[in-house]
Amino acid sequence: MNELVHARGLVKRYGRKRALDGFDLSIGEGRIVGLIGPNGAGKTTALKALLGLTAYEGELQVLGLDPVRQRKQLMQDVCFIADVAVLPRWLRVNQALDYVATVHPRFRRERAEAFLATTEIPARARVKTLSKGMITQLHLALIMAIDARLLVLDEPTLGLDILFRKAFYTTLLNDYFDDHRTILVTTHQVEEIEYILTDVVFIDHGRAVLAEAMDTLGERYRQLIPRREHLEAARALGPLSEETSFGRHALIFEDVPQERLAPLGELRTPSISDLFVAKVGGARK
Amino acid sequence: MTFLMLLRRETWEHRAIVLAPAIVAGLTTLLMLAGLVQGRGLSRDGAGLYLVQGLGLMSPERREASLTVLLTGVVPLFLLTMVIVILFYAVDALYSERRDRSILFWKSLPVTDLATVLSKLCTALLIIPLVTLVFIGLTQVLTLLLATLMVWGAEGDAWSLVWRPAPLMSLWTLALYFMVAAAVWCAPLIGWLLLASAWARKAPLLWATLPVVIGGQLELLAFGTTAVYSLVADRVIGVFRVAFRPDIKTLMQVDGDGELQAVATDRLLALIDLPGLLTAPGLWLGLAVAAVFVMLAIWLRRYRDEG
Repeated sequence: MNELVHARGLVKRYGRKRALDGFDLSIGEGRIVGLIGPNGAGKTTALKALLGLTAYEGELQVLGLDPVRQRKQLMQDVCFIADVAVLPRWLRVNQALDYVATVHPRFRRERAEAFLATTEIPARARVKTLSKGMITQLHLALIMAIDARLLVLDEPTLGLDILFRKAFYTTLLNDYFDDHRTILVTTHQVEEIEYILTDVVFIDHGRAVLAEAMDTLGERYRQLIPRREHLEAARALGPLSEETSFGRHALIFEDVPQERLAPLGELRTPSISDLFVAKVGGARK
Repeated sequence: MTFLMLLRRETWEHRAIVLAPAIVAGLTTLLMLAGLVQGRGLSRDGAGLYLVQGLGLMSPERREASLTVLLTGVVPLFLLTMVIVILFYAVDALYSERRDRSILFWKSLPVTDLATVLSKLCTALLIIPLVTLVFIGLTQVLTLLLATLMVWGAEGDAWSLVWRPAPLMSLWTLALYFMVAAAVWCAPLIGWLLLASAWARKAPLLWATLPVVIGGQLELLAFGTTAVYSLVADRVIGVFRVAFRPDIKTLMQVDGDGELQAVATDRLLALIDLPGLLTAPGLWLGLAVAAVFVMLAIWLRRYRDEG
């Protein structure tokens, strides 16, 4: 596996608070990694360190480069969307295309124009006249036309309605992603990106508390709906969490072999959000 | 290519760079047109007659001097506008991208902070003055065209009365020299404004002016002197002192009897004191200070965590 991002023991202090507290991350080429964590867990700080936007302590290489010292070189191969509101309001659509086409050697203008043609964005409109969804489309059009090896998305669909959110990820997957591209994405709406991820990383209190490929997730984490008579036996196996809804219990286990759980009830792979609640919510109690 | 695009970007965001001098040029031209209509400038016995008779009676030197006064009359308004545009541009240049958070978009592209800050410095020091210069030139040509119409109205010879004695080339050379000299002389002020712009989380204009005012007032209270204020004032207007010969004052002066003191064409370019400018210790000291301010601004843009 060609490792694009390599972080070991990243620490970032803001005064006495540690936004990152020994954060580890490894991302291979061609993966789509979801970085998921509660507010204030250090998601944005981790991304900023990766993008050379903030100083840090610890070991970090992105595409084999030092993000702070080799930032210009890094930005040739890395793209990011930091927030929906980030395009300046005075910028015109055609100006944005002119600008990126001139400063970015890997920008393919015809690709951006082809994508924009499928939207309702006027060719010379100013950003301030566009809706929030259109601004995100414009930003995505610019970013997707760049042949970048790593794309970093920080809450890219924040504040958008469900139609735009769906369209955003569909476009990303169909028109952008291939074996040579790698995507790192953070979001609150876990359910919406669950099906596109190849890997998931949970971050809490500045540390990675889980880092797993989606393929192997089901081998390590299992959700058990025990038959009533086996509930106590299931609890004795040390679940990460237990939830009750409509009188039904659902227990999530980590690294408990299938043959020990299967006799007790119905087994399934937990959803990312259930697992997140179990792993992070459990630790917070 | 990238750097040219960075300069274009500045004119997209700060439209006053072109709009402000264009408005001044438009208003000036409108005023001249109004004067022309009111003075019946195009008729045989209108204001044009005074122009033909007045200029016709003058010696060639006086004629040149009169046209110099006519053509430089519009310049102060342009310069005042330019100073205001530069001031507001410079304090906004590294602040607006942080205020609207678009800095993260600009930083997502492979452009260094060095190139970005230098493009803003270059806009303040060279682009804004050059755009102003173009509009000054345009207004002067329009002035001469209107004068031509008036002279024609009174059946005079516009070439010998207006165009030949008008020292356009000398005036433009002088103006270009002034803009470049002023740019290098005022560089530390611009550097300071850019630094305030990169530093302030709010109200960059206040950050730019308050330290000077506080320093000046403290000095006044403690020692009763005004060295701080004098230093800043000299950076604003001192370029006339170091870059020109003292006769510069007579360029547009009218003495008590209404006699024009303007300098004749052949002496216009003699006003330039390039050796004086280049040997002024203040120039090099100022450039060194400007370099420090600009480097600090670059450092801030590069390493400050916007949280």
